Amino acid sequence: MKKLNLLLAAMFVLFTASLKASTADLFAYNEQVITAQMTDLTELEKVVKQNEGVTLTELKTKHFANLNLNGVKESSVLGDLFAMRGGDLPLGIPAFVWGCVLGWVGILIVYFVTEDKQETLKALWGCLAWGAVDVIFYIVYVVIILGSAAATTY
Amino acid sequence: MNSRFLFFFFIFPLFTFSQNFYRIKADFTIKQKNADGSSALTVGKVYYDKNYKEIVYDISFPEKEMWITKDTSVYKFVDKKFVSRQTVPAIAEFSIFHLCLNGTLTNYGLESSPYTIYNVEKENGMVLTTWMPPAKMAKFLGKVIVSQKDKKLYGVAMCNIKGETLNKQFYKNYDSNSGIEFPKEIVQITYINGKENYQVTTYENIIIDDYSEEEMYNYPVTAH
Repeated sequence: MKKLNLLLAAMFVLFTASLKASTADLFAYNEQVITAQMTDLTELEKVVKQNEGVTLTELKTKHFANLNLNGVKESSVLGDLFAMRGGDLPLGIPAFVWGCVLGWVGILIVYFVTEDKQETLKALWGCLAWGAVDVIFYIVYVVIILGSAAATTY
Repeated sequence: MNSRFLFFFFIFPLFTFSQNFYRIKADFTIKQKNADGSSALTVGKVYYDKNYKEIVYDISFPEKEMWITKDTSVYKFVDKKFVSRQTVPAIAEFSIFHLCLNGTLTNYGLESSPYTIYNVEKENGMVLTTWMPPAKMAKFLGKVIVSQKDKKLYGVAMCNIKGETLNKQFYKNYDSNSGIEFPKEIVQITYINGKENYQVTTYENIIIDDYSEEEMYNYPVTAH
């Protein structure tokens, strides 16, 4: 019985130790692998810093013999990151169109989906623009009707 | 005895208040290598003033452009002309710049988030703190494990709700500048479909409370 208890205790200690090691292992990584992966970019970085203000477009048009630009994105890392995190408008339709087509309902949809004052304002402008078109259309319609009525009278 | 009392209760607090830094400027480089073979290099300068909560990235490579985050918007400018605006989560107060200026980088700013401490352990010279999301967010957010070495933030591991690691970040080569500890290198490993994507961000020429480029800390974006 004592042996069994001892065995169980030893297993518990080993199990706990392995659990702890797994948490700490999360923070171990192979630095050399990452450095090796970045070799081309490190070379590119050196060239960019030696030629202050140079852009990727300029590098492609100028001749840099040892520079490997294959697979190098033309967009910045930040641009990609923000594009990924960017909150999409409902159904990808511009806020102005939402306001223009659906009026106050469109404004509410944009407001609740984006929770963004600027986008909501665009939807409001869309709503007002459609209102203005509506008024102009009505005036033109009335003028045409009155004009034809007057022509008929005389 | 009276002079000591005077120092600790009146003079010392005045001294510590004078250490309240609010601006940071640095040259940065981001190198990204993805598992699909694509790569990206971004070089530029970054400006941040915690009073305006506006991060200004003045990028010189791959193309000259500016990205400015303010509240829940990110603005793109080319040649000082407005190009586009997108809605993003408000990130300024969780940025490395804000956390460093406020001295809260050690816990990755999690103490002022809805996350709560679940477990603290010591292993391999690191203090490992496991943070759990609030119960109502547990369906969407996983745990975050923060490791500290020498009382400085060393690593952050973000997991999904299954406990699988999504992203790991390592904060290295701390630069002590005017009492602000700022990591000059951040290594990031992101796991997508079981493959590792690498990103290395380096900061150089870190200047605290710079007054030479006043206009860069509060770039006019609100009109757009």
